[in-house]
Formats: sequence, structure tokens, C-alpha cells
Amino acid sequence: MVESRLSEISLEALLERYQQADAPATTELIQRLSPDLLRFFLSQEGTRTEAEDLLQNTWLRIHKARHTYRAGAPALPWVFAIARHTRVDDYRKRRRIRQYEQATDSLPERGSHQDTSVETPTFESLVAELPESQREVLTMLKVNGLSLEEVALATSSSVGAVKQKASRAYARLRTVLCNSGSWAIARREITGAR
Amino acid sequence: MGHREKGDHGSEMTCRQVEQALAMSGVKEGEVAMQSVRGHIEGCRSCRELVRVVEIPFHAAQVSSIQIERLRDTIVDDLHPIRPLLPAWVFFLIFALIFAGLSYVGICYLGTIGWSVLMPLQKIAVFATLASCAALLSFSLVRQMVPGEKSLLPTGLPPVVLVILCLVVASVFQVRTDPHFVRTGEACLKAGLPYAIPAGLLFWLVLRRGLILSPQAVGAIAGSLAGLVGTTVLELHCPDLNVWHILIWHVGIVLLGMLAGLLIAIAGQAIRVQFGGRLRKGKFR
Repeated sequence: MVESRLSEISLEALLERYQQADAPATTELIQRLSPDLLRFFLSQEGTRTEAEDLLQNTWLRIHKARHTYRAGAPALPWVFAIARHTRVDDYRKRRRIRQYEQATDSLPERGSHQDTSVETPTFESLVAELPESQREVLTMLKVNGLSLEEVALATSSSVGAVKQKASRAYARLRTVLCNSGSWAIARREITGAR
Repeated sequence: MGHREKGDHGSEMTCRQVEQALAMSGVKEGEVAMQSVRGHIEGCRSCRELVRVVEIPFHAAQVSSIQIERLRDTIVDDLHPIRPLLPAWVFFLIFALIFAGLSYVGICYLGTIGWSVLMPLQKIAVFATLASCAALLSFSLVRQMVPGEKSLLPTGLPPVVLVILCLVVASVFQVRTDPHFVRTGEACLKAGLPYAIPAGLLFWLVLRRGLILSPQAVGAIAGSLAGLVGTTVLELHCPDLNVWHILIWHVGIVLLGMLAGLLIAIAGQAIRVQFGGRLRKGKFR
């Protein structure tokens, strides 16, 4: 009964109850937000293990900074702003470690190890081809379901900038699709139909 | 390029416009609403393919129940009621009080000879600019304390403030001969810095209440605000009206503060990256 009621409560209300040390509300919040956060990290990071580590670190940071959530403010921008910076910090740490290990200046592009010869590219493999800022915006919009305004708040930018990045991401995705096998098939079908 | 052409069913919309329309519609808004966009997508195979790929649900994102339980145990074990952050206006007021308080202490110790030698126009221009810049920097700092807060001011505000100050000073003061330019300047620097440094420390203590996600930006803003305290004290105290003296030795404190704040933030972040994991390991609070 309590669980069904909790599932109807908004994220904002759950966060407020989390601040007041309400254990069931905290559990509900973890259950509701974790899949979204994991999806966000999976689309940005190479492996599931890394994404799960980031999920753990993000919750640590959310827990330490839960007092900074202001009642009534939208929850998702607050959560994703923390998640985004956790990922950036983690990237810096890993880059530093890899610099020592590999003595290289730059990391290989994410997704370069993935099989690009498949005829129908997946969303993940396509998104991996995007620059980091565009990938982040597109993931928040399409995978996590944030609105333009929420993405703008989470990334500390304007709605216009988010729109521009998303638009560029689509243009780039089209180019990637164009070079992929599935696109070639589609083009052959068009030519054949004409 | 086929995908830049108009839709097949006589639609006037181009593929580029479809990309822009897609960018404007989040998942929450549902499918693309505009009729013309839908018409184009129906008639254009390339756009259909793009929409199909983008709208494929992202898989493999189920969090294992073990991980959820681990997270829940860690967090719930550490739960205790906390007091939410004070409203933004309270922090703004605190920054204003620190600024005004340290400036007051400065003029109590150093005196207000500078104020008495200024022309009315110079007083208005200089102190209105200092107050406006301090308000802008404080407002920006308050916004930086909470993640996901709407930022109305750019994070690159400190250089803008510095340029504004230089322009105002250059427009209301004149070049005068100063045979002891460096000696008087050093005296001013020594007089201003003792107010800027504690201001910076106090701002940092207040900022620690929030969650700083962009340490470099916040370091530069807080440093500039601290530098402004030193500049304000000097403007009230120093009777030298030479424009170069004011630009270099008074306004220069803002630049010093900005650079110091930035460097401290960079150093702090480097230390956190280097040792953060080790320090945090096994600790939750």
C-alpha cells in the first residue's frame, strides 16, 4: 500500500522526504533514478562496469550534497548536473591513470572498438560517433527523457545552445547513418523504386 | 546530397529543418507534432531512417537488484535529517555583508582621504561601478552553489567585470605625473591585499555550504569579488588620482584575486583527482 503510494509521488517530493531521512522514500528514489542514471552513463562510457562505478559515485555525491536541493526546484536537472560532473571528474581521474599506464596524450575515441560493420547500427553505436557535448545532450533528451529546459539547467547552458547541439547531433547522426550499411540499403531501395 | 532535398510528397520542408524540429522536441513532447514535419518524414526515407534509429529504446540499462540493494543499504544506513540550503537571497546578503563589513573595517583603519579628494562625478562613477560589479559577482556565486540552478550570468564574468572597471576608471581619471609610481603603488597594494585575502577566505567558507561543480569558475569569481573589496578600500583611502596608478595598483587587485582564485581552484581539483579516491575510500561523510 505504502509502496504503491510512493510510486505515485513526484521525484521532487521524494527528494524532500530524502532530506528528512525518510527511508522508504529514499529507496523509491534510488529505484526510480538509478536506471535513468545508468542509461546516461552507459551511453557515455565504454563498459558497464565503468557505468556502474559511476552510478555508485553519483549516489555518493548526491547523498553528500542532498542539502543543496531546494524544495520545489525541478529534480532531474539537479540530479543530472551532479551525474554529469561525476562523470567528468571520473574521466579526468581515468585519463590521469591511463597517462601513467600508456604514456599517451589522448584516449582512444569511445566506440572505436565496436563493430561498425553491422548493417543496422544501434543507437549506442551511432551516439558513440558524436562529440562528447552533443552525445551528452542527445542522451539526456532521447534516452533520459529530459526536456530542453531541464537539459539546459543540467548542463549550465541556454536552451538555444542545447537546441543547437541537438540539431548538430542529428545532422552528424545522418552522416554516420549515411556511411553505414543500413543507409546504403535504404538508398538502393530509393534508387530501385525510382 | 539526397538528404538535403525536399520531401517526396511535395513537402516544402528540408531534411535540415527536420533535424532542427527533432532537436526541439524532447521525448516528453511525444512524437513530432508539426504536420509538415510528419509529412516530410513520411515522404523522406532518410529522415524516416534517422527517426527510427534515434527512437529505438536504449537497452541494457537495467540496474541489477544487487546493486540497488547495495546502494540502498549504504545510503539508508547513513540517513539522518538534514537542513536544506538557505534561500539564495540569504547567501546574497551574506556576501554583501562580508563585502561591506571588510570595506568598513578598511576605512576605519586607513581613513577616507581618497573619498574627500574625488569629484562628485568620479565618486558616482567609481562607487556605482564597484557596487554593481560586486552585486553581479555575488549573484553569480550564489547561483553556482546549487547544481542545476539557472545561471543568468556567464561563468566568464570576472574578465568582463575587469574590463568594465578599467573603462570606467580610464574615462573619469586623467594621466598625472608620478615620480614615485612604483613606491606609492606598492604601498597601495600592501594596504589593499590585507582586506582582499580575508574576504576571499570568508567567501570560501560560505561557498563550502553549497556544492561547487565548476571550481575554476567559482574560484575566479570569488577571487575577483575578494579583489573588489581591496579595490573599494583603496578607492576610499588613496588620494592618488593618476589613472595609471588606479588601473595598475587598485584595479590590479581584482586581477590578482581572479588569478589567485583560479589557481587555487585548479590546484584543489588536481589534488582531489590525485588523492580524492584514496581519501574517500570507505568513508561516506
